[in-house]
Amino acid sequence: MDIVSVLAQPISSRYKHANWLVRTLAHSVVVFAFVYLVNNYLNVWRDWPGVVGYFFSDNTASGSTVLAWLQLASYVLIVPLVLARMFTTPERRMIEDSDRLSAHSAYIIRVAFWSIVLIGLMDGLISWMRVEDLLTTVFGDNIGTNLGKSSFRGTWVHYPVIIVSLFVGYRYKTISVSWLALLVVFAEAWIVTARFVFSYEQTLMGDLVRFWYAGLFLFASAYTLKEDGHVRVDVIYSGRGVRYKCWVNIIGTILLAYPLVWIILTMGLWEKNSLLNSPLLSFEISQSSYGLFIKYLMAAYLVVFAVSMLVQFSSMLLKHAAILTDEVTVKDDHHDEALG
Amino acid sequence: MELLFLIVLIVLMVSALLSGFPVAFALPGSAILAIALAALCGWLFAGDSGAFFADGGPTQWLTAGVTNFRSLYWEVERDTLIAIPLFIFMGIMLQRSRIAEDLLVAMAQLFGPVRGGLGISVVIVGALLAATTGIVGATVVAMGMISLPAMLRNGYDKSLATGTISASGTLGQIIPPSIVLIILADQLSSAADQASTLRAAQYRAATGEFSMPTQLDVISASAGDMFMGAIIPGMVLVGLYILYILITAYVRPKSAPPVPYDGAYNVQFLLSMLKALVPPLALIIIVLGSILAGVATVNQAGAIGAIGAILMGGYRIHKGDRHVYLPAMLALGSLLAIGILLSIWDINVKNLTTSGQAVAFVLAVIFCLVLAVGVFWSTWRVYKTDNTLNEVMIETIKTTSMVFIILIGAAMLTAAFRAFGGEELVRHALTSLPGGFWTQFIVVMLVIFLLGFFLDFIEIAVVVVPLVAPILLAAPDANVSAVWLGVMIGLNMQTSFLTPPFGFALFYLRGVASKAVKTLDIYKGVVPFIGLQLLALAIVGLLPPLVNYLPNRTYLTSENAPPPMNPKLQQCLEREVFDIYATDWPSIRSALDAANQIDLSALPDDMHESIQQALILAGQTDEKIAAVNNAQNIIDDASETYRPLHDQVRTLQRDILRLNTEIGSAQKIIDNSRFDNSISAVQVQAARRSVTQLQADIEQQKSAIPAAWQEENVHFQQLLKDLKLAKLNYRNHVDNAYQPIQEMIQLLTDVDRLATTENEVKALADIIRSASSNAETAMAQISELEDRMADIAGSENTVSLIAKARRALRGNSADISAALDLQQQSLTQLQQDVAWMRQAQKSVLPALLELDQHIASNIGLRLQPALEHDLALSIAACQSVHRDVSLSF
Repeated sequence: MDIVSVLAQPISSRYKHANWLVRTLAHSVVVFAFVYLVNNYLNVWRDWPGVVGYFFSDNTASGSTVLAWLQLASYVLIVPLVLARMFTTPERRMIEDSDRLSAHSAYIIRVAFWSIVLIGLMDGLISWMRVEDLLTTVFGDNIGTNLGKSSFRGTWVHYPVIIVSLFVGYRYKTISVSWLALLVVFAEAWIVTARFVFSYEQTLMGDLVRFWYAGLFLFASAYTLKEDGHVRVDVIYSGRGVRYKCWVNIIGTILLAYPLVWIILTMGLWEKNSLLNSPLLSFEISQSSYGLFIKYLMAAYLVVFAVSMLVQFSSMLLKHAAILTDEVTVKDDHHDEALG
Repeated sequence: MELLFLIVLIVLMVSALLSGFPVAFALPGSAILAIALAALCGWLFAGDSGAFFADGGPTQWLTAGVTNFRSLYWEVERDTLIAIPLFIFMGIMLQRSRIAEDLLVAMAQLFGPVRGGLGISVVIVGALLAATTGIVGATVVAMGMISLPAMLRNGYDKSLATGTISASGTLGQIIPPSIVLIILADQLSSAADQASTLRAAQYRAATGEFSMPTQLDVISASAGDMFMGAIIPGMVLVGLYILYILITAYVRPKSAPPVPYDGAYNVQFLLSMLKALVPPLALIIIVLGSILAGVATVNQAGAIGAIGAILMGGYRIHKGDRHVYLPAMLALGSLLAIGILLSIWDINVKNLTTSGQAVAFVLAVIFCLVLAVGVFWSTWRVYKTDNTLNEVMIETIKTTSMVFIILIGAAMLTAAFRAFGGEELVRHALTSLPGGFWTQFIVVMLVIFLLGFFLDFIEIAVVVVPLVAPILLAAPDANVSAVWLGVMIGLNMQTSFLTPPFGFALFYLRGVASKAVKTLDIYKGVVPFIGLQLLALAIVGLLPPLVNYLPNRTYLTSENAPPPMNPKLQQCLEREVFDIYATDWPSIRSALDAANQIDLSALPDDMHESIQQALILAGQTDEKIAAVNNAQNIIDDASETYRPLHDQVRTLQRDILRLNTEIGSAQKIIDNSRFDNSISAVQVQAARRSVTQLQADIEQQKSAIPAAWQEENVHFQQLLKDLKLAKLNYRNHVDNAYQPIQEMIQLLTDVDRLATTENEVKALADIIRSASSNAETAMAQISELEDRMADIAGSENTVSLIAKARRALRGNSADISAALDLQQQSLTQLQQDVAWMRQAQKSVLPALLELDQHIASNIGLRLQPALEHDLALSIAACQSVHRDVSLSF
């Protein structure tokens, strides 16, 4: 469904209601996710009491009261604040917000992309030097030994690279996750050359391929959704009109997609020994200690996936709501004429 | 109650899928909704959110789902999936470099003049493209735009033309490298693990023995196996298509007339033909060849293919006319050069010992750099020309992500399905079908075929296969290999692209075909091809070696093939060897008799005796063979009467097991009612009634078990044990008979190597004397000599004396004179040993070697270091047949 034109001034009271309702919903979900992530960080890494831990569990004595109330306020205030924002910007079109969220999602993905490319290359180099016993020779005993520890490498190599990526992703908008396709090809080809020509094989080379390939399909998902590339069973869908499609996408987003994303976030994060928190917290690495030290980052992939999908789905919600309310007009591209 | 929520889950899933919401999110979304509903209802009505789950609670199953997400890329075991983006990249790159168009034009010119030639050319191009790009949509579109107009213009029947194109386009699904096969391999490897556990449990229950013999285990499949297994079935399919077109062309000549080629068959024609054909063929040979030869893994082959595609794209879409082929030639030339280097030297970076290797290493580095220049230059060109690289990369990540997010989504669905006991239910439904494996199999295939009308292959592969494959693989009466099952499912799912109304191939073709072609023509056209597809399915189903032979052969002839000792090989190995005995025993016997005449006097007494003993044992081998054959015959006779009884009783026992689980769930209601007020008295009453009824049923089933069963079963198990024992006896016997002879031959052939150490042992005297100043270095030098001599047969006595001498040097007061004394002893020992060995080498060795020629391939077979090529082939053929092992369970 390609957007043909944006209506200049669609002002009916029905539209106005839909506008603030959908925008509030979409934005609240997104903001909620970010507040949740920040609180997760505070609970797990900074030992804050946490809303559930303080108010809804039996051992209320633990933790600081002030901090717990602060955290509670952070959640409670989301909807009022978002609502207030929506009421102060009534002229904003849903389609504009949809594009904006889409751009946010793309930015998250670009940062993740640059992070794993740079970390992959740097960690690859460091791990290779470790395998070949060059670390202490090059960096001296102190740093050399420390680089063999995952917590040190995570804090002093990976985290700075992620911070750099925040800027690189902002500055360069054209290069993104698609390049991982080429990088995976080259990384695997590198394994082939090293193995068949020089009989040289290291765990770290396989790790690098896996690191990039996992990023490839998880980070590409948001873009694929934007381009409507996720396959649909179009037995019924393709034959129906625009309004049916919009409703399917809106209801599906709310009932099917949002829960999925939130299950990943809640089951994966939440407390210290959760599925994704625990490897992140302990800088988990793979069994063979001579591979890359990146396994814990691959746990974060699912968080990146969940957040980018959440933002992208919210954008999709806004877009289809915009079509439904005639804010924009579209050209339908169903299969009817093809079936002739 | 969990059954209700299983139905809720299925209804939710079907409606979410049919609504048209993306599959990747509809599957996990409906799973989560169903779990949430069950938890909510449980919490409201039973006071426990986990009440309506088969076991566990909602958080547990949701966490399991998220763990499944992570496991997709978290562990090394699923690395096979990495091949998918690589092959997708390769396919899209090749599609952009328009090899399809070139191939179609060239092949049409070549085959056109034959009757039905255009159709045949379409099938062949379809097969070639399947082995390179493998993208159904791209292939059908290319052929629909180029071949369809040509065929229609020349008077081809519309249905025949459209059917041929749609069917040939879908060949990419089954001819490797294919994404379907990789996904199937991934799903089947975990299914095979589960099946193996199931079977082991069955074996324990049936025999009471703890560990199951390896030859009864389920045979797993890797992606490489699947690729190899699919090659012959793919060719069968291509053959059937061509045959059909030929027959149609001869029966109804008007439907597929010959198309004369106007141009001349000259050098120009040959060149254009080569230009179109050679590059894709070369790529196919490199990619599939490296997998077939067992050299590269599937992932590595994928990377090779992707790089090859970049190189081809680099010249094919290049717009300038200077140096068109230069990058590809640079790459090709350096590859050749590296190949030559590798054939002369073994370049191991970690172990460059000779100067030749060092030079070769430097040269190899240079050529690799040239290769890299070629590759990067080509990459630069495809990047710069029409934005091709960008489009290819974007298309790759979109397709890859589409496939993988469905895999993720299905993982959550599987968790929910288990949470509500769905897996158990399907297992019961399947195993309670009468007729054993084949009914189960046909039902499953039918379901997959029908699902193919609405869903496409990924959904079927990730939703249906994990459910049914473990059960099918575990069934001992057919004992099918995972590769065969995978290829059968793959062949079946290929039809999903052809079946109206929702076959993808039909959509693509409809999109590019002219208005003159009616949709009904297309539907009519694919019907015979669906029939051919089913025919191929039947052929492959009845002849499992078509699938199993190639993977087995590759494995058994590869470098890491198992030695003849390997327990998994024994079944087939003995089959081969016993055939040899049956015909050749007299000549083996006479060779042994001749060996008895050898003059063994040159050997020391103990060795003399052990060789004689070995010869006697070898002569008795026929008794052991007779014992095995005898035991086998007894079992074969007994099976005839035992089998019907066994089948009957095992079916009854399965029923009893099922009834027992039903009793269990009814009992649970009764037990819970004591604490749980929400269970009404009526429910409890009903549960009690059903327990009584079920118990009566069980009694009835039990009484249906024939009285003779107990005794017959024990008897038959005893026969199986006898056979096992006879075989073990045979194996030990031949090993004991052959080992001394083998060792003696080794010893006597190594004499010269042993003799060369004499000087070094002499020189030890100087080293020992130097120990007065530096004992450490001396000892290190001595122990280095010990290590080297340890490899040589017959050096044991000498080495132990040398070691004693070394130990004499230990400590503060190195006893140099004692060490020298021991060194002298070791020298004498060595000289004595060498002396008798030289003697025996003349008098004994030739005769033993002569004997070895006769017995190495039978009595001595198990102790050979590696399988011989011919034997490996016949064992591969033997292992490719499925064997009924149900009587062992």
